[in-house]
Amino acid sequence: MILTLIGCQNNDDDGYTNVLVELEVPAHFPEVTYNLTNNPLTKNGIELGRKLFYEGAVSSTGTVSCGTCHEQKYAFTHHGHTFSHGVNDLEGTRNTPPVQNMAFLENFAWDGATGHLDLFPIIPITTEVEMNETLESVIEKLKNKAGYKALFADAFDDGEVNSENFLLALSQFMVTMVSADAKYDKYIRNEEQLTEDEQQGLAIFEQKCASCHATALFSDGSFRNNGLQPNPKLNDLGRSKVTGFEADNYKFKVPSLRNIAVTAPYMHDGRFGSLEAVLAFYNSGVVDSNTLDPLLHNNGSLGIPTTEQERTVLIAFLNTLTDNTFLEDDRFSEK
Amino acid sequence: MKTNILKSILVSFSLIALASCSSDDDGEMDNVNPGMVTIEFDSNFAGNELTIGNANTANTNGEALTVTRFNYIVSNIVLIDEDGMEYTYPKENSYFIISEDSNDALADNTSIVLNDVPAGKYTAIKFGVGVDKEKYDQGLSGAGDFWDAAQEYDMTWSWAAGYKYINFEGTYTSATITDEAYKVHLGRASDEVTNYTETTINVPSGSAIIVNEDMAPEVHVTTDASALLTASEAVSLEAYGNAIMGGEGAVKVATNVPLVFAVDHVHNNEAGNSSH
Repeated sequence: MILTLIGCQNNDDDGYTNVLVELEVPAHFPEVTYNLTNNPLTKNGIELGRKLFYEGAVSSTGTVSCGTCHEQKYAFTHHGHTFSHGVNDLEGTRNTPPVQNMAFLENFAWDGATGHLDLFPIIPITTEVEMNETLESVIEKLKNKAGYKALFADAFDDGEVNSENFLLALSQFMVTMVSADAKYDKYIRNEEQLTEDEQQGLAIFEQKCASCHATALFSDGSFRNNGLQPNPKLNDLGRSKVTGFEADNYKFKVPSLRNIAVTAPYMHDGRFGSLEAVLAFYNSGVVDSNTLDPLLHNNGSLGIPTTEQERTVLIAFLNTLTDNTFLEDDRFSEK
Repeated sequence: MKTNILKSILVSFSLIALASCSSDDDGEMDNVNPGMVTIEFDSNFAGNELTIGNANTANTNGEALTVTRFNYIVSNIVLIDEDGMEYTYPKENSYFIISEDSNDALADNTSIVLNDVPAGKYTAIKFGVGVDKEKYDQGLSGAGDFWDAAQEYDMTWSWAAGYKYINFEGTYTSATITDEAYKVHLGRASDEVTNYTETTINVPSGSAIIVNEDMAPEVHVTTDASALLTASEAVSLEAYGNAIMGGEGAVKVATNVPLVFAVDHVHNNEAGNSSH
């Protein structure tokens, strides 16, 4: 590991020095899952990743970048879109999830279609209704685009413009996208107090929500069927599309609730426009099925019953998860 | 006598992991002559030659397959000598795509060359089919060339980004189905269901793979494509809707994978004289 780091610091024959960057891990967060030894963060690597995140050449039409659907001020979701539009205005079937705290996740995408952050970008790049491209073609375009040869050379030891370095740079950028400075985090760090409503909301949250929306990430990373009536037009089977097991039918990854107030619409298919609607669904809209999560079966009743007053304070608490530092951080913006 | 010398050398190689020959207890280091080994993968279909694009006779599931693509990833090769000592080929160089494909743009790959193998008399080969969890968890670090090659041979999944371990495609005919396309794609389903399997195959008794700098052995491994669907678990293509890409079907195929391979024979050629 030490050797890798040293190698990285002196990576250029012309005397140029790339600077190692240490990931700041919030004290109340779970352990980092991303292997930083294999892909050590560097100033130039992260900067290249940022540029690639906003690069339209990753799509067949040259117009759709990662940032097109992952907009910073909405915690890198696609505001106002149930489903996002890709190239040629084609539409997907799932709601854009946020890009935040990626260094701490085990699986990516609503159905966990990949277990490695490095591989994740291949999915939107190659999906017909998103970027409709191939990795090989993206690399060819980047080789011919001004500036990239130098940026890759400055970011990686071998300096190649290739798929490996392309994906490693994107990972480096995404790994740095940590959201941990919401009012809730300041409360955890004893820097700020919650209001009475927010505190009551937190207490109810811990009692009724935190078994799935666990840890400081507000997700346990598991795949669960939360009882949504499947949309018959899509009949999206979720996790079982990846695993092929019927026991995984209609299961989706428990989403993080960080920045939840700015990431409407909600659920894998964006069916709910407000947090009120989400809590009303858990109160009285949960539909039974073979794979419904056992936690949503309570003594013969389904869902998570809440009173109107409880829903009000829960939403007050959920609003404390909005992290304006993250939403406005110019390290993550297009510039 | 020579055998004993080779053996002791192999042991020291294993212990010092190919470090340079600076120290040596038995003074025999001059005899350490690493050599190359070629492994040929000869495909067949239930004992008959596999010809891409030609119909085979019906298998024990009553399905007659015409194979148009038989690609798989061989990885983590280990050579085992007559005393059970293992030589693990360097992991970073131990991923290979074996391919027979109706797409003429793709060159068939049916052999693997291992270089700098410690001298010895090896009697078994162990290898994986697919990409193990350790390699998967490394992501793209150091994987660039292999990922690109895998992509070229249609051995990557983009919708569930990762590797296909086996891409076995064609058409089949059964009592109820005529010439329908089938696809068998094996790959990682989750951390729990990786579908990566390893197999250990012995060279025929009395034979060995003799490695040293004067030799260039060729190991002929037979690969029975039919066994993927029949070896231990009966996997009917029709029962899985002509497509096996995950779930129970993939787990059953993965169970069959180790039984697909066997060492048929070894040519212990002298270096410079390739044969057969």
